[in-house]
Amino acid sequence: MTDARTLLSAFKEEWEAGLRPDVGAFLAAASAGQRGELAHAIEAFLCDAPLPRYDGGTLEQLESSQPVREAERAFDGRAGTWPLLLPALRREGRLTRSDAARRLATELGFSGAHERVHEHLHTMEYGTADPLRISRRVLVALARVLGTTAARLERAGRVPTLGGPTRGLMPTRRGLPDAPPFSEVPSGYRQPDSHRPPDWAALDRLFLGADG
Amino acid sequence: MSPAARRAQRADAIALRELAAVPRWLWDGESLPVPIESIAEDHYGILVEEHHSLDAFATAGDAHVSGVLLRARGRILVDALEAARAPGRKRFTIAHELGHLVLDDEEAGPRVGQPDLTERRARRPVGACDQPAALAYPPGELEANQFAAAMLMPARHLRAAGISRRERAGGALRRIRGGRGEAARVPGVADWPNSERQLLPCGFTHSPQLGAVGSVAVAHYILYFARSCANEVNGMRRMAGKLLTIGLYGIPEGAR
Repeated sequence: MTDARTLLSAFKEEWEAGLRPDVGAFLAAASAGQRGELAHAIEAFLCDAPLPRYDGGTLEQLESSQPVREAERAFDGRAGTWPLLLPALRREGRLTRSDAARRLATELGFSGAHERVHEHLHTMEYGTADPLRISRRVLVALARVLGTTAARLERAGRVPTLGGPTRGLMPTRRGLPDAPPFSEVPSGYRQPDSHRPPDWAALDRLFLGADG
Repeated sequence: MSPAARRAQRADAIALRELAAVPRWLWDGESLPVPIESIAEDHYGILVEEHHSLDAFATAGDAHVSGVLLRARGRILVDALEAARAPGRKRFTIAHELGHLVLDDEEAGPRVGQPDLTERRARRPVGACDQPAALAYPPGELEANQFAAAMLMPARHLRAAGISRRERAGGALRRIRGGRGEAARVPGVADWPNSERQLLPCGFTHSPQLGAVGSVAVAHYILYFARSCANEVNGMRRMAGKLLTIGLYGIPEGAR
């Protein structure tokens, strides 16, 4: 085992050279007794570390990586660090969002409305939900689903951000003019708006508040 | 290499990188079809919704909108009728929109098609053109298509089927039109559900063994290589464009 100070120096060197050192690998190389100390030292360094001189390719790769996308959603959104925390907790538990929504719906006593819960969970993960309107009951139930505490979720939702999505609607795909792709309506097809949607008011109040 | 070929190559490379970043518990990197909806949901955090009509998003010159990416809300809206008629088409639309999500993140450029190209495309009769309609698409749309093709039919799987760069377009096209023996060399594709194979309505390009989405992906693949070696395969480029048009828009050959 290498001592924490040597490891920290090596980490700094790699960082400054733009080599993207793997924090996990450095921590694993430290002895159990020094691991916590090294983690704190790396964290303190990274808080003020200068941006390394990445080459264009590395920078592009970093900017388009999923953690950076999620961080961007958190900064742009209004739901604190939920866009980072909630997907990370789901991944830890290897839970798809659909599964998480099902479990959350059951916990809330709305097992028949898991699709609606799915939509609400999406707004929380994407940073478009308003944390102040989400009921304590939802946070407690979600914490059980994700294996954490409601207090942690609450804290994460209150981290200040830029306050709202900044980008507008963006239609991006089109068909050819005057050529609808399929002329025949398949049997059994029902227009989604051809029947009345179920009444989700009671469920929505849990996520949107009384006047949501 | 032409700028278009470079862009296509870049879209391919990014799709490959994105696929590699998908957690193994979501997709093992091998089995087909690639679970694109689950990847959109659980990897990118995008909600996929079917809507009866997306025509509200159409602009002048567009008669139909297949899918829409609402980046600020993290949603992809897909035409419900198309999804019911051809799940393969829905898969392609989702992958295409993910292409916009990923590719537009990486460059500062216009995110919506250029009006002049849209206008020209609107006047071009499909099937009678001197250049494939697909090639008149705005570059960003072509890139998203390329990305979608690479996501749904990763090049590695094409290579496993013996479709190599050396064979180029001719060989690839023969293979997708070929018999069971050739297509069966693509791991897993022979087991694709029938719903995946219904994207192409005409016999010209439909290969039940390879699957409709595979056919569209191969069309992109052909187009990509045709762009790379335009001088020798002009005829093939036209054919690939036509194949792409038919594959993407479901227009039977000779219907126009």
